[in-house]
Amino acid sequence: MKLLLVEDDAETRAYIARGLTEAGHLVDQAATGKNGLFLAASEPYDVMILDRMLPAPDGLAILRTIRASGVKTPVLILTTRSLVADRVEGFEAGADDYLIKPFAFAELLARVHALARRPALATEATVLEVADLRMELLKRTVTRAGKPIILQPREFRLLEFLMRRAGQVVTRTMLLEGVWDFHFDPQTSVVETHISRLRAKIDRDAPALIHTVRGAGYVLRAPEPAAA
Amino acid sequence: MLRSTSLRVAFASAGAVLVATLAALAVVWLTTASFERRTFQAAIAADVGELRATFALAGPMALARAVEARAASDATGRNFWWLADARDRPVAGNLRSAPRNPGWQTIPVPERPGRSALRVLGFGAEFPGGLFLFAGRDAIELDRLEQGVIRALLASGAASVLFALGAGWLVARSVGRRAAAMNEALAEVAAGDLSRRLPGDDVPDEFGRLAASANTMLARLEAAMRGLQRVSGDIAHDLRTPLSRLRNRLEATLATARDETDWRAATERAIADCDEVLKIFAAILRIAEIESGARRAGFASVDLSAALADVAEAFQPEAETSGHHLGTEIAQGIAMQGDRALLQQAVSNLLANALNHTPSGTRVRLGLFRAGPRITIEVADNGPGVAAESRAKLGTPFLRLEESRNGGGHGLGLALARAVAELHGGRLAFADASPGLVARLDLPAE
Repeated sequence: MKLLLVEDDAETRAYIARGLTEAGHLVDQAATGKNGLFLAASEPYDVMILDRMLPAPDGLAILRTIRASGVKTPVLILTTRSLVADRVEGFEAGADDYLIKPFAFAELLARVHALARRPALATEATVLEVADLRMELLKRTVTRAGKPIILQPREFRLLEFLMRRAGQVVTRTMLLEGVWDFHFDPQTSVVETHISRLRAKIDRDAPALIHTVRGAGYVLRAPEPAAA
Repeated sequence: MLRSTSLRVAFASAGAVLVATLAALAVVWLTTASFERRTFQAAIAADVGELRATFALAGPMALARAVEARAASDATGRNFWWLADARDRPVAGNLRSAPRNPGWQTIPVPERPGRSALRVLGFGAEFPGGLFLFAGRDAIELDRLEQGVIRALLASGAASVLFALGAGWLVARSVGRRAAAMNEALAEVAAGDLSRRLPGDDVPDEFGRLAASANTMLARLEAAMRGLQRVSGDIAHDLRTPLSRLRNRLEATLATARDETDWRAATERAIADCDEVLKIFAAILRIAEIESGARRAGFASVDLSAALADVAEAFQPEAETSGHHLGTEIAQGIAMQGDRALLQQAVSNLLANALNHTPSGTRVRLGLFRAGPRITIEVADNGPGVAAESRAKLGTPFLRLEESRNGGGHGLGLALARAVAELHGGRLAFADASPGLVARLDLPAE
């Protein structure tokens, strides 16, 4: 993917750019809002990563400008401010996601991947399928290899979230936000507990679909062809 | 000098008084001296008119007789007539002469034995056949009246202006003194003495109210500064411990690590240590953000019943794992204006506190109810409780009670809950649940 990174702190910029490059992406970098805006307006990107606090214009100003000129590229805003009003301001300016500094690199990568895939999420699928796992959204039923699986409502939402992002790493924070609508760290093992319950129901008698990615999060994906 | 507001006010009020006084004096003038003069002239004009009628009806001889009769019968000695023929020879009257000018004029009459000098104001009139009549009256009293009125008017005008200036100066001085006192106090505040307060905040006027507002602001500022000093001290202390631990571990690694596995393990451990420090920072920053109060702008209607049910549900598995019984008593349909994420976080922290600091088998109950204008969120347990003297300190940042050392945490969870309560105009209090501890978030419904 081709990514734009606008970040004024040289060390943070180098750290993120190196990580993204190692993950196989092409990264254009800008250290000032002015250069960032120039690149954002003139080059096509898959995802843009904008630091919120930049020497003028700041991240939100860049975002408003490119959105006003019709650029629909997904944008991830990096910020040190964490409260609801800031987040609302970011989304109102046209941001697609919001990541609070400091963050683990795995979190950033997972969110960038999720953003790049976002258009697929908008499709009005009524059935989600990964390998032999099948979810019918209208009937609220789940089957694995044809056998029905009974899920609690929250487990159902968690599985739906994972299935819609099959093959992508989702982080604990993404799950807290997407499944529980918790925009804070509840300091509990609620995610881990639900994942292990879900595993017990989904992966009990069949090849595992839900995998833990160390230091990053979880991924739901079909077993490797070799293993299948 | 005009840079002083109070002086400008003084001058402006003196100016206003001057204009008002001049208007009043003009009225006085018109109703006294000017009125007297008009009456005086009207009497003379009436006299001349009568004499004209006499002339018209009965001719020059009758006119001369009438003038002569008037001059003879004047007992006051202050009315004068003069009738001259075409060649200016006296015909009748008690004046020695008068200039032959028609219309109003004043004729000086020199001093005579038994009478002082006079000024005669009169009217000169031509008659057919060359006769000239002057009828007048001594105007000394009129002049005196006018002069007297003018003097009185000038004196009272000057007195008014002086009075206005004086009053203005007094007001200016009093205002100036109070402003100077406030300025002095503010200068001391600016110089660093945040405990200084403006004088006169109990006086029930604009200055008093201004001083009271400023003092309220200063009190808040002082409290905020105190809090900042305390917290920065705490931060320094509480971050030094994990940072020096991290440093020591890295040093030890440098000395002892033999292979890739050792380095990897040490690095992972160092990252975990850093995450711990960053977590503390994040919590501190979040509390600071909340305490700044600026976040009220993001308030929206929050369905508390649903938001709390979600939090309780999220803690259920954890409570089961640790052998706690987590129950809820959540009244339905309770909503308020607030920040949903913060309210949920506050309740999460209270629940985590209850679960982490009570033994297995303890019952923990999350309650939500509304009584009139107040909403109460309660987290109660029937655990060992907290001693009264320690209870008062709960919610202080970085507090770790001796009896709960094993519980972990940074002592910031309850501080955050308290900050959230205060952001929403409520408070967080802890009480004895006998047995156990109850944390109460008391919030206004509106």
